[in-house]
Amino acid sequence: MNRFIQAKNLSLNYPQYSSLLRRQKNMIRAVNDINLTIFKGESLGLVGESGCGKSTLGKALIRFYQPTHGHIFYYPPEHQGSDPIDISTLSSRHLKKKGIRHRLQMLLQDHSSAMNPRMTVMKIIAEAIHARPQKPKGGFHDEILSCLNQVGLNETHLKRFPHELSGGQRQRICIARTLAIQPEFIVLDEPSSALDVSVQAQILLLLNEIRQNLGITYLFITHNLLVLKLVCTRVVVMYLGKIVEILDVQDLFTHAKHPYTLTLLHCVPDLDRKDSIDPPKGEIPNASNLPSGCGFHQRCPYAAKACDQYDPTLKQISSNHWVSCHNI
Amino acid sequence: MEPLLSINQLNIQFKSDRGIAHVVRDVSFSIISGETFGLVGESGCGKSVTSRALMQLIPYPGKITGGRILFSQHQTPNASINITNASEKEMQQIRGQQIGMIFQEPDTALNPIMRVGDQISEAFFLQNKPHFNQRFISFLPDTLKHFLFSSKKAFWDKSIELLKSLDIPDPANVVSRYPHELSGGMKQRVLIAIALAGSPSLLISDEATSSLDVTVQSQIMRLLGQLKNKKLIQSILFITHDLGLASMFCDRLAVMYAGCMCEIGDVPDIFLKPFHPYTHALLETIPKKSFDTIMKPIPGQVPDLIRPSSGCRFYPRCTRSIDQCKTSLPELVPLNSTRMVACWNMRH
Repeated sequence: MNRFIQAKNLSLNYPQYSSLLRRQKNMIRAVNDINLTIFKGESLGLVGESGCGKSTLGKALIRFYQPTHGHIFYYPPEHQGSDPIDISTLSSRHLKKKGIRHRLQMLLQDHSSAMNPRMTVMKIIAEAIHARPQKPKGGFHDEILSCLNQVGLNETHLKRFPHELSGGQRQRICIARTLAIQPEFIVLDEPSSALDVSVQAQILLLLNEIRQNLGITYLFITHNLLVLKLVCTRVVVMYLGKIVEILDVQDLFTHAKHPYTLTLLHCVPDLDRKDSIDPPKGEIPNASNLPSGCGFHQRCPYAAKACDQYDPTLKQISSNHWVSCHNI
Repeated sequence: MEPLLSINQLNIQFKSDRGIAHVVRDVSFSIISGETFGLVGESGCGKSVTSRALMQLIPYPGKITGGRILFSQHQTPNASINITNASEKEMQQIRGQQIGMIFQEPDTALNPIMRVGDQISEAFFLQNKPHFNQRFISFLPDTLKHFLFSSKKAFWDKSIELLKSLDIPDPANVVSRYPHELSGGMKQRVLIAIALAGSPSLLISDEATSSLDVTVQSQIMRLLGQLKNKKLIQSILFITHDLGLASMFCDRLAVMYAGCMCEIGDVPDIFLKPFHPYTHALLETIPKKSFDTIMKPIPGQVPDLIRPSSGCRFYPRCTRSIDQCKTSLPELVPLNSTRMVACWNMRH
């Protein structure tokens, strides 16, 4: 498999300022020293609790945010074997000039606030087509229609405003808009969490179909572990700005090793479950005041002496399985 | 067994520019004392509106156009009150004190400019107050309420005691904080504390955990279970769209679709052997841990409630429809001692 995007020692901090003198009070370490490789054509799942930095990581990888430290390497698929481009410090003008901006795109979390309420569906998609580096060969109208057809909508939706559509249709328009730019990589930020279960299944199957047809790479951010099985090939588990485990999705429910992953899996309510849930103690610590050592040691049932002193590093335990824990 | 609450042929309509939307149509169910009753369905199916009708809190254009909601009050046994035609004065005695409610989003349900302790104290303060005093307090500016409630140290202490029983670490410190200083799980616990302050017999939980993470959700769910075991509350009406959660937590379950009741049944049975095609389809759409088959989405969309077709509301999306489904709406009929189903195809 070819590498597509690689993050090296990536960190992103949000400084907080005092109200009057604007002095820096403290720093929220949203993403903390992350190394991650995303391969071409894969669908990588990113899970974790809210506030663990998963959306920040997704946005930093496509340079919506400027990382504080570290590098992001982009491997252009048309020149295989050539040197990667470090996009972590490029300005948005340079990103556009080098033709990278339109390749790295995002599907935003909340479909109702992601669209301009005063624009019709036609305008929303036309705007995205305008952002392509090459103008479409056929007519604009045909191009808009083909984008809509891709997501299972048709001509009748063209003149509607976002508020006239149902939640599932709005999410489809958002997907059509993202696809209209012809990206290679899409960060999907909780694409199904605002939808009902019956519609959620439709959207997930649609996303799967699009990935198979167009060969787009996904970073699928979610907090719903059960959804991962349907759309992802690999899973990254994050806790407090760090990666705690990387594994194949088939192994997630059977071979997960990190105590945090096991805790998350244990808490998922499921129809077939007979046992009761034994919830973990405490809550996710404050990211502006990180605990010493392993970030999970205060809540971990297997915490040993070393856990509150040394920070564990990601260790490879089998070919596609990486865990960051002292007890492994 | 005497039901704590029984809803009979409840109808709720909302007026809009386009016409009248029949949001809840002939819904009937009852909650027995001591059980956790689940209400599931997609958004817009009328489950939240039904729960708000129990407190007479339906937002403006909505109106209860028919039916009865009988609630047996715990001070006076054998005497039940019909909530649909209770006066505002009577409702003040029911809201919070006989029926408590945990609202959907902890962020918007709490007042951002009042301390957590004041918000819980307010619930204590309003108990057994005459109607006039309650109205007077509701007109007070929020910032002044602090002086009114914190002067009563007993309420403040009671709030600390209540938060302590809800597993909040350092409750003496938490009461004097503002909602934005607390995490999502803590805010949800504060909301539960406010709902419990009046020691209600029925607790309505309207998607109380859907905005929380699974770990925090499991903590909150265990807390609710403990409250019921300790007999602090008699029954819970648990509204959710998460079937997995409902299967683990509820004793009985009702499935709603587009304002109509589809099926009511005991919890393991309704999942093992769903009779209504919608319940069946809904179970196939949700991702499960232990399966290798693909999930099947329900084709089509929820019908327009303003211009519904004359037949069964699920008819356009149903795979098991017969001719009768197109012309007339099925009623909820008992199938056996525990199960009730509204489907034409079941009766043949």
